[in-house]
Amino acid sequence: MFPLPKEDKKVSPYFVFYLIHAMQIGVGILGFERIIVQSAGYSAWIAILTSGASIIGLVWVSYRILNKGNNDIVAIHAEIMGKWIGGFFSFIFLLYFFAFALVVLRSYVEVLQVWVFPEVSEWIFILIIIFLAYSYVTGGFRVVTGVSYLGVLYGLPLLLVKFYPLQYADYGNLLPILNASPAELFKASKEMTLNFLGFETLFMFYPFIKDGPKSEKWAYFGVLFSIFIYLLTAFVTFVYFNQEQLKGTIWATLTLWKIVDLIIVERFEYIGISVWFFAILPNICIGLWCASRGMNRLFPVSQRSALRIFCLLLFFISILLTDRQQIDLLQKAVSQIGLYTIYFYLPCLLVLQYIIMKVKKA
Amino acid sequence: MNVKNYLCCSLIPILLAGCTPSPKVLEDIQLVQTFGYDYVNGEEFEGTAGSSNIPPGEQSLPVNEVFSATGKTSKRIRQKIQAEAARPIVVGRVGLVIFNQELAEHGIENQIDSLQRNPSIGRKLLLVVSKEKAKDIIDANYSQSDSVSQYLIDVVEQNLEQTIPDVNLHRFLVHYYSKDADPFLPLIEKQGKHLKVSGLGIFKDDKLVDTISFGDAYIFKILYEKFRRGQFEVELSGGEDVSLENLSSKPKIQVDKRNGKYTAAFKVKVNGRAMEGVDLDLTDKKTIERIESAVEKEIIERAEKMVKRFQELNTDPLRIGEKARQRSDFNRKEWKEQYSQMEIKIEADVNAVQSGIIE
Repeated sequence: MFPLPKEDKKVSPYFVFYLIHAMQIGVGILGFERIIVQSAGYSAWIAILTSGASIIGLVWVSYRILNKGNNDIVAIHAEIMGKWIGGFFSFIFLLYFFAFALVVLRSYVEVLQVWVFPEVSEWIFILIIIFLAYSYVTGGFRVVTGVSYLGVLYGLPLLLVKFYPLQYADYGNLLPILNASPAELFKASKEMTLNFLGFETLFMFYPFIKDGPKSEKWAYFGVLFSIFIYLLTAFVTFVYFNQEQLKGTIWATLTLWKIVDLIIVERFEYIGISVWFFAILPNICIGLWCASRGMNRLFPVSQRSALRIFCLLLFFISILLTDRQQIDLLQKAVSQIGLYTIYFYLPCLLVLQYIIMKVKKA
Repeated sequence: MNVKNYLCCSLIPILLAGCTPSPKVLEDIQLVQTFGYDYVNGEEFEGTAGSSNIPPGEQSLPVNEVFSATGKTSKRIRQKIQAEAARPIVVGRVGLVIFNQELAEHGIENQIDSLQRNPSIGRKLLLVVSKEKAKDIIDANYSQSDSVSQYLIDVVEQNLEQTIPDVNLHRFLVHYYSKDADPFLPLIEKQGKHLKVSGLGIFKDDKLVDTISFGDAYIFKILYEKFRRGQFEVELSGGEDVSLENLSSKPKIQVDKRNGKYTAAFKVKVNGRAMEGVDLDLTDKKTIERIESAVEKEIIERAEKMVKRFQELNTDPLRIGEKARQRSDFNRKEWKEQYSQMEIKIEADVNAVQSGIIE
């Protein structure tokens, strides 16, 4: 019922590193510092470590499910819960992937509008980005992988400009080291987890990896690298801003770029935001690819027409979201769903799969 | 993809070409480089934008163009200024913002807020307080052939490196938002055909509460940040003047808490070369020691007086509170209560070497 993709459509296991890392680093990194600091002050960097560690655990859980099922989430759902209930859950999953792409797209366009082009209306950016994403996703999974590989690569030089804010660093900001209660740290960890979301797309693209079980270590490397990037970003932001100042800064990482002083560039943010587009694009591409692929698996539609429908939906819903509050609400909703999915649903699925496989065998 | 799809795809960029924002050509905009705020009354303030315009022609010098307007908000002022200007006003290159002393005494919260909110304003922007009206400083002629705005920026920038503590918009904001420190800004005044940095303005929250002299600003810098290439003059007990050059200094603040009582201590390490000692034998070890102890005495005395004054005004521009906050047993309420009476010790360790090219 659910055939595996052909060999020539697959990618090498190490690409999982780029896929997972590209998915985890998105718009969140432009302003996550403020949110975790509001909960746990400058001890919040610990939250990055704890939530990162929990994500590693969840990747382990995911691989156990996938290795046993040896197919994507749609097939595993159908196997465990049958055509209808399983199909229902799969449908929710792909709606989630779609919503993920939507959040990323809309948040990025908001940044573009506030920082770079206040006089251009948002539908133009939305149209251009969707058009671009569409043309990549129609190329198939291998092209999407290529986009995420390039996205990771293009984003890396931006780490170099962290040097400029460090000139104004007050390292004392980090002291005292443990100044938050466990409850505060827990809250910050929960909020930090939202920035690590996106690795769930693994459940859709797993069959497209040559020798899936071998890719597990690359997935861990991807998550570890994300943790490293987040830690580094948080560290620089914390020593640069005063705590109270940071609490009022919506896009801390962007505001940080304001101190960058290059000879020919007065406002580095403009370059930074443009380069960051390449880090955003894989998020949208992978999200759309997963959603359309899921549709194709569930319903008798081709992936291309499913993609077209999703692109249209993406365009119209993005336009309907006009102000900050709505974008915030959407972000919160998607991240809450993501949070419960990974922390409750995935472990439950693992147990359920184990039991049902046992029963079926017997 | 078939031909039809290709055609469709290539059509989209063509259609979108009309949606690009209008390009900004340097000659067609009014690039504001300095901005000044003056006090009018409790509600309104006056804003002055200084920009330079280079008229066409090979030998032409930049012409100073100044616009000013009065209003309740920065945005309103900008609108009024725009009404006067022949070309669109662009603020992305503002390098210096001048607050008139009177306005600073009434608080500069509104102006600071509008500066930090505007995405096109950088964080290396310099802020200063002026004794005269900001408008008179921007709308004036200086002996320099450079544009006025560039001259003003250069004077302040040069001083920030050598004589007064380094502060820009970012530093100001860090101090301003901190619950345990208060901001300070350089103080400028006009002297004939020159602009002069004449000290520091000390703030309590967003209000100017005190100004300190140029000499004290130097002591402030020694207590505040690590630096090199300074210079310090001191009079010895015998009446001889000596200067220490190539000064490098490094401060350390230590805050202790015993039985709920806070004490603080500044430890300053200063290294320098003794120069310009007329009638002094700079090769003599004793003379060097005399110089060292004289400099130490001078730094300690002036610093103690300055810190006392800050305590009386209950303002903390030297961010002693920030240092206290780094203690795990920090209690903000206790600290605020104790700050103005607490004991703050100053220790200076001066190390001089003789120099000069003649013995």
